[in-house]
Amino acid sequence: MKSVLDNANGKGFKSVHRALIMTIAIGAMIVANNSQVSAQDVAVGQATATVQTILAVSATASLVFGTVYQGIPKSIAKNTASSGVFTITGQASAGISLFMQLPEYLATSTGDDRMPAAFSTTDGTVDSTANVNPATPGGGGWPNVNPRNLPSTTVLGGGGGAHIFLGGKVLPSPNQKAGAYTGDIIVTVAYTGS
Amino acid sequence: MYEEKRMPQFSRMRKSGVFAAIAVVLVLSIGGGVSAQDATTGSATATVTTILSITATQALIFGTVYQGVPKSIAENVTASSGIFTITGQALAGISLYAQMPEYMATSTGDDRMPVAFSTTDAAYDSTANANPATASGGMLTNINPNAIPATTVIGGGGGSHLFLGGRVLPSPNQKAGAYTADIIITVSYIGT
Repeated sequence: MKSVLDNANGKGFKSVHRALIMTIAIGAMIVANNSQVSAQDVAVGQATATVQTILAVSATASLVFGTVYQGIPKSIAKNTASSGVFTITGQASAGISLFMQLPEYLATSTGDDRMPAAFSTTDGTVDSTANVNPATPGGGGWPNVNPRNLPSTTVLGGGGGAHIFLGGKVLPSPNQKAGAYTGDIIVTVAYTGS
Repeated sequence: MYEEKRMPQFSRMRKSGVFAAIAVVLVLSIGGGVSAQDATTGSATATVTTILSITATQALIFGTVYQGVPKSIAENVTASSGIFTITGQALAGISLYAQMPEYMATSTGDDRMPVAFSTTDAAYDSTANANPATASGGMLTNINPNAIPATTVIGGGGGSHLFLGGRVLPSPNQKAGAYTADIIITVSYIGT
């Protein structure tokens, strides 16, 4: 009996002992694992960007020389109702570069006659306000500029707009053919990133 | 073994984070490389006026002239006054310059007869009227052909006329025959 009990107790003690050891071991492992997990972390940051307002330029008014007499040169100043007007819209106060491709002559629709056109170094004005009237340019712009070499420091106004006002001169010959003449003026504008 | 299984997961997470960062950098790089620009085409326009022209419509005809007897023709004689017709842009300002002869000569040039023009020997009509004898409302009369007014304009119909008189002074022994002389009229737009 005693031996049976002893044996029984011995087996039971061993079982309990094993279970305890296993528990302790497992606990140790858990503690160890927890220490390793806390050694790293994850964070989510962000990359952000704000795309500027789209830059656009449009031809608002043609440069209108009107009636021209053979042999009589005619000039249109940049500050009249007949001046050419180009409107630029984009991000307020952004730096822009402007390039104008001016015609050397106006031509008839059939191309059978041409009339020279000329632009002086003061035939342009860049107005960085909302003003669209060439006769009343706003302050703080760039008056009397060379339309072939517009200032590199041009910026859009605080309202996100600007205008180019353009004058010029035509030189008809004494035997200039009567009729309507036109010439293209191409304006390219781009953000400079400033 | 547990740690060995963990290591690949950590490695994958680190790799994912690196890839995401790289992707962000690439996106920002691409976004910074594109600069907005625009272009437009405007125009310059002009209308060239009707071509200006002048023609000698009728000669100043002194007709039969007697030696030693001066003869005048007024600027308002239908069949005898000189007539010049101007066409061009309606209401355009023009300048007129008349180069008057000092004498008339034979075709061979073997004789000459003086001719004179007074300060009232011309008239300018800015209407379509081509008859020197018919006074129109737009006529400038008694003007000096050597100093035609600078305020001359083409009529509203795009046409005008210059009427011219004069006087020849044949000598008593003026050679018989036909005598002629050139009258040159220059017209140009003045831009008004």
